[in-house]
Amino acid sequence: MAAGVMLSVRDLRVDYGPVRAVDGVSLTIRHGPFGLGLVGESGSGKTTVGRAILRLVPAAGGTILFEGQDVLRLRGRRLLEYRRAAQLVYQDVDNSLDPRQRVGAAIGEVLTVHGMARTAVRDRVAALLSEAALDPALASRYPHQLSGGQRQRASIARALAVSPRLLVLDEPTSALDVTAQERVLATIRRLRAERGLSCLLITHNLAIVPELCEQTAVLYLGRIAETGPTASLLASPAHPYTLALRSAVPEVDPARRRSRIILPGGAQGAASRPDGCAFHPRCPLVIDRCRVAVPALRSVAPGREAACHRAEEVLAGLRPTGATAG
Amino acid sequence: MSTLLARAPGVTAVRRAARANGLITAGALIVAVIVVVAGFAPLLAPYPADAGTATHPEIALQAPSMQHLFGTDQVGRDVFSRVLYGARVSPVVAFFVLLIACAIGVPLGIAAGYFGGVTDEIIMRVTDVFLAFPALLLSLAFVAVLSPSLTTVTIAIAIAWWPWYTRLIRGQAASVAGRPYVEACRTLGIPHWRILLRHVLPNSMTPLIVQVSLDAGGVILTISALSFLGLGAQDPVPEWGLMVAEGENYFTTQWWLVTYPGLAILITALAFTLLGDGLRDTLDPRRLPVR
Amino acid sequence: MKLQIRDLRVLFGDHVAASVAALDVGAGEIVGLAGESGSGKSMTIQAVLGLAGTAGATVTGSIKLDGTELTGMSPAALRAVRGRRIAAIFQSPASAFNPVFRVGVIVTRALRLHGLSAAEARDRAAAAMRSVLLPQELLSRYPAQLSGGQLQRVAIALAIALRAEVLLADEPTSALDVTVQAEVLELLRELRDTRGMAILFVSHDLAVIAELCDRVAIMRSGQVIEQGRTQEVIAAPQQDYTRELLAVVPRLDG
Repeated sequence: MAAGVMLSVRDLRVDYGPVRAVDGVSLTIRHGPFGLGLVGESGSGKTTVGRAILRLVPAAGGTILFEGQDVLRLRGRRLLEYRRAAQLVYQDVDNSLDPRQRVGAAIGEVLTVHGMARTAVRDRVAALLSEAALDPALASRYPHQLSGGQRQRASIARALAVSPRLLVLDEPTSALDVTAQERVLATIRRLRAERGLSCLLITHNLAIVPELCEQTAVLYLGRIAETGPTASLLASPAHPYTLALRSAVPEVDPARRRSRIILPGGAQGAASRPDGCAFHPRCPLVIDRCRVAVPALRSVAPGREAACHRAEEVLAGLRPTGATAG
Repeated sequence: MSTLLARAPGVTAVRRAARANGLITAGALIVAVIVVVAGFAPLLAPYPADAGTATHPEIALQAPSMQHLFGTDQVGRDVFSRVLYGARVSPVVAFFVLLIACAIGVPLGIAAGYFGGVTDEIIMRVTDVFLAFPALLLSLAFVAVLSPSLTTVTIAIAIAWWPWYTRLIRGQAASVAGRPYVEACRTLGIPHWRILLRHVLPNSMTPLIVQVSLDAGGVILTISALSFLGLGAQDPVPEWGLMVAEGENYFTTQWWLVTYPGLAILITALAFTLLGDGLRDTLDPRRLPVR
Repeated sequence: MKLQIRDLRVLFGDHVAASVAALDVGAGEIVGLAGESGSGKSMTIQAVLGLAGTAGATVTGSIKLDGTELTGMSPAALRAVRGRRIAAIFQSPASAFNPVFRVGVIVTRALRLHGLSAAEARDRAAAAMRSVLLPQELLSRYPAQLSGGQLQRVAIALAIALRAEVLLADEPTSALDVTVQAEVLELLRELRDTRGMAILFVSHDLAVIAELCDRVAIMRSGQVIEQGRTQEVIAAPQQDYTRELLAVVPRLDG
């Protein structure tokens, strides 16, 4: 394992019945503090990638190495240990906590199950809640008595109870208000620094990626479109899909707005993945080659990889007609 | 986030509770009365011995009067006392029936719903077999094999009843098992048994509670029916169904022999049904935060 | 002014869920109602639709459509207005469509309820689908077979088919992917520009409001605390809360 690499995913393939939801995805997550943003929309397979990494769905092929161990082959106690080292924070804020269990009891249960003495549990629960920027007094409340943002942070506190090294965050803020969103993201940022966590942030909202992730990977229909350092990827994309995604993010400051690249056709499902480049039916920069040849993910600049036949041109500034440069 | 109507702080919930309250209060009140009667039967009944082996043929078939509020039966026993003592029989038997049915049905249903796969298949096929038999016939067959008595009847009805609870709970358990918090428990290392006991079971209980209260009435009727057929309680046990059977021949002239025990069955079954209805109203749409 | 709201108060017992002193939406204008959950913005929409009463609330104040007072209108009269002249789309498009019926049936049924003949309904539905850039064949599918974005566009198509003058949009894009959101917002702009619809757009995301709305009212704890032309409110917010809302909007440049 290369120095500093905690999790290495190579050529991951996951099937949902007859549909190949993830088709050859490779990612690298370094030791913390570190963040990788996995960006994609519905049907991209991003959630599936996260769940496959955590062994919550079976993989059809590929390898996942966590600190040198083959995750896909882990069993018994090793699997349990891995489960503690890598935790998941859910998108569904309303159902990620047992509605009939008080928040403190939910966190305490995890500690008890892992052998903590009863007397020590109470204090540890309070400490975990504080770490997640929650008032320890909330331990006696039921989930429905908390706001959405508080519930999400309580889930995070529970995940922290097993002292994970890797946190997979599946759309952690999609169900929240902007203010709650900011609080949750700030909490994650702080935890990342304090605990040296590695985070895999799965989201469709490009805007929340920069504050948490050094690296970003863009996913489309189960395949990686491009990867690279977040700042450079967002500043100069090398894939037309990234261009469209970036242009779609609403901006408060009118000076920062780019003209919209509206993608024709609706979102596609992985079940109907086209021949050649998966994106070609909607790509504003499509050429004949795209319809027949699947673009390989290749290096287009130091640290930057893209799967597009015209990646270099896009990187150099090629834009769909009508789009503002940038 | 728009939460629309659910934001109305408890308004809809209050309305429901108010309507439910009437039902629950009525049901609970009557059930309480029955419990009190059962508990204090020896004190309330004017002729406690009549509920046992005492017979007074000389005052048989007397019409209701001040000394015998509900009249006397064919061997001179005070019907009122026997009806009061009956409160100790049917409801108690019903309680045990439901207890046994739940004890068998609930664990099976939870296991089937949570584990799914082969476990689910096996359990549900066994359940289907039991469900295929009409409850009454199954009970009859069972009683025919063993000698008729209240114990036999208890077990017989329980055996016919448990599959319904398995099916009911299985659906709930399967739904709960698929929720993020259950999966989170797994990833956090919480063992299966604990998840089943502390997370799946409590969250699957609601429809069961409602169903059990509604069933109480039905079970009481079934006990009475079986006793009426001579397969359950045997004389001199003051079981209401049995009393109705014994008074059947005298129905047209000495109506009190059948009417009062019959009313007791009716009222008890009704009380539990009201309770169940009311519980369903309060428990069902109650908590879940609507988004 | 198409829609005029004056001294609107939505109360649950003593609790004031929403209080709007003055809010206008003109034809060919998009007005934003911004705030967090619980700020009362959804309640305001419910009140305009005349549905707040069903939730058990008491509504006082005036809501006028083209000068006609809506509060206190008889249920029958209100039904002619609601859905026909005032259309609404919500955050969860799937919940607006009965999953048992095909989409086309739902749309034409709504049109027929408001007085159109079967043939007219079909024609208008087809034209509306073209306006929202959706293929006709989607009408023969069930709601479950359409994506969130497609359903939302069908909901907008319905508003177009009804020739609605006012569109109330309650967080219509919060549950959608960002590119789909962009399409829906583009559609709303078109409705404003080519059809002169008056649109009241509720959202918690100030970035979306900044891009879409001509004017904005900021709500907090049931009260409107600041109002004005969007660019002015954003450039020079008067209230601390508004500044806070602006500060928490995630920005691409970090």
